[in-house]
Amino acid sequence: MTDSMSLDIPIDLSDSDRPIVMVDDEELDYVSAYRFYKRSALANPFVRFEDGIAFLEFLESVKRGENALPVLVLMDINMPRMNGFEAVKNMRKDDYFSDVPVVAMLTSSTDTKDKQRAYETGVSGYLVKPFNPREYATFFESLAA
Amino acid sequence: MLTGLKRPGALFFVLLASLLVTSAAFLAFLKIDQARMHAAFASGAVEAAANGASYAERFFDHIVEYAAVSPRLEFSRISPVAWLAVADLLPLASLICERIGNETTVLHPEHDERPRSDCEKDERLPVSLDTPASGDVRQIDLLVSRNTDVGAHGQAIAAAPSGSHESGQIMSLAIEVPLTATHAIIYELDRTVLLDSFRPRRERAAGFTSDLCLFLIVVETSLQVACDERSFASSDTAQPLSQDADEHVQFKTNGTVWDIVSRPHAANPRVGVTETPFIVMAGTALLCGLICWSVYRSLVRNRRLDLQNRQLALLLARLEQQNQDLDQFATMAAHDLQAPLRFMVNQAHLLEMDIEELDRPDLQAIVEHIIAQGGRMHELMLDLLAFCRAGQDEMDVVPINPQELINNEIVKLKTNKDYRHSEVSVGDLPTSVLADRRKFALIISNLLDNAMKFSLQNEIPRVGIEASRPADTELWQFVVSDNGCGIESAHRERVFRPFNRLDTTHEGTGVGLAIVRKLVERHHGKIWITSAGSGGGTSVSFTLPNNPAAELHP
Repeated sequence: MTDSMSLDIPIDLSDSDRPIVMVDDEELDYVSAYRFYKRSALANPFVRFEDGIAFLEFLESVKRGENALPVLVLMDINMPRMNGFEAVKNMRKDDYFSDVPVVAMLTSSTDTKDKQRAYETGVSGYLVKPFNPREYATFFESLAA
Repeated sequence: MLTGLKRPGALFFVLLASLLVTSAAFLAFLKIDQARMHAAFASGAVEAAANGASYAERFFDHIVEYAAVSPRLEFSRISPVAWLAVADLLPLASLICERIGNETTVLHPEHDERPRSDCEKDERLPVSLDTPASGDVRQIDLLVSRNTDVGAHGQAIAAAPSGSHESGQIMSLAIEVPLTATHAIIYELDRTVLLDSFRPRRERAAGFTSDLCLFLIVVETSLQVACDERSFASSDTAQPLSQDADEHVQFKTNGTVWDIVSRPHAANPRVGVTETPFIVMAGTALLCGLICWSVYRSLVRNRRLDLQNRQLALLLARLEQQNQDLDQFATMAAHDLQAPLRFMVNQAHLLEMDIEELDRPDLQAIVEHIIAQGGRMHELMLDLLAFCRAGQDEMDVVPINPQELINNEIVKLKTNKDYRHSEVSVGDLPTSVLADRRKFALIISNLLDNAMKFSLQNEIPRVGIEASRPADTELWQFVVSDNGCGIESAHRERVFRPFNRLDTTHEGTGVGLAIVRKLVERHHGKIWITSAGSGGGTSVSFTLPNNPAAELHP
């Protein structure tokens, strides 16, 4: 599965106080991902939001200084209320968040259109949601490296 | 649907043809002169209605000429129609008079406002003509005798010069007709509907314009007309004819030439209309019917072919639409089913991880089955998607270099460690063909992958690819061959069907060749398999259009 993930730039997760944010409406995806995140060498807080709106509200609180700036955003595409494209676009409008790396979480490797659109909105890479959750482990290890 | 559409048209044509045949036959059975008369009346009436006065004037030219050369008129048979005409003669007479004398005026037209109920007695309608130019004075007396004893068709009364008036001539036209109630009614009708277009039979006659009625008189009475030494021939009235000669008067109306022949020397002087033999009429009718029928047949056949063509086009469009719908459905299904499947397999994996710790190989085996089947289902879905998309994607046909693309694919496949020892020989290849770059690469990678996969069973796996172009064609024929197990001729068509695998020992869903065929066909090419059979290896050949420009600018 060589095309199941791609990272364009190295992501700096060294500031372990800053959280990794996952935006996904699917509970099961979060559970799988979190299970392998816990086992990984990464120590950042792992936060999840259910959709784009909730994520943007979180960003507001970050700007007010109530929360730390995320080191990485894992963004699902298909979500109710506000999808991933819209959320990333809105986030990028604010220069404050222009450097926050985003990895798009694609549902299928065949979604070439989604992949293309994600890059147009300004993501740093993508991860196709794996059939085997062990691939999350591979993904987090590659981040930790 | 077909018969439903066909029937009204067919019915119409059959009706039309039979109508024509029967009417033609009817005409043939009638006395020819009558038939022709009726036809002329009909057309004349229509024309009169359309052309009005100009038509009337043309007729008067004939009538006036006739009257001028014929000092004596005999009417031995006058039909009710003629009677009606006579009753209307007063205005006509003045018109005739106008014609005879160049600048004549009608003097004292009496009785014209006479109440119609009071027409029991004989009538004498004197019309005096004064022609100042020539000093000629003529008087035409129209005598209408309402004698009830004259029988069905009236009686002839001599119309003879009744005296002289100074230098002029007085002409009397005496007509005796029966007066019946019917006639009176028709007459009354006639007064009001005089200028209407023709009606069936009797009313039709009553509906004629006055000028046509006059024409009727001439034609009908011409059967009994006896004339003097003058010919009726309008072309040369001055030429006296011999006593024995037949005399002709010709009318030309609406394309019909009326040739009325008078034979004064015969024992029973009779003027008749030249008759067309019955057999000719019947033959014409039959021919007319046949022509109608053949025209109808060809029209129907054309219509049917036209209809069938349209139906085929519709069917094709519908099939294409259905194919598209099916492809879209499959795409959507394969795509949307992936998410729930992923959850299931995901959970099975997590379960497997937990079971590992329990040391329960039986449970472990079950979960592994679930994961394996889930994975297989995923694979099938992806291939289904690929198969559908092979038919959906836009075609971007450009000149491409097959050599370059084929070498790329070979390099990619060689990275697979299974194929590391395969011998790949690349033969002659064109430098340019017309194809979609991405789709061509997909065709090549699928075929080479198949060839490498199936030649592995041979100790020395050999795969070859080459292309040739027969001299007189614009198609390149590519051949991808292997030295694998070969394919029995009975199965050579089956392998192109999606999800149809001959050999289940190898990996794959069996959609590769189906995709390849779809892609080749989208390039308007053909694909086929040749194989020496079991153990003889397999060759897959396909065609692609040549790029003619490449030869001009190598």
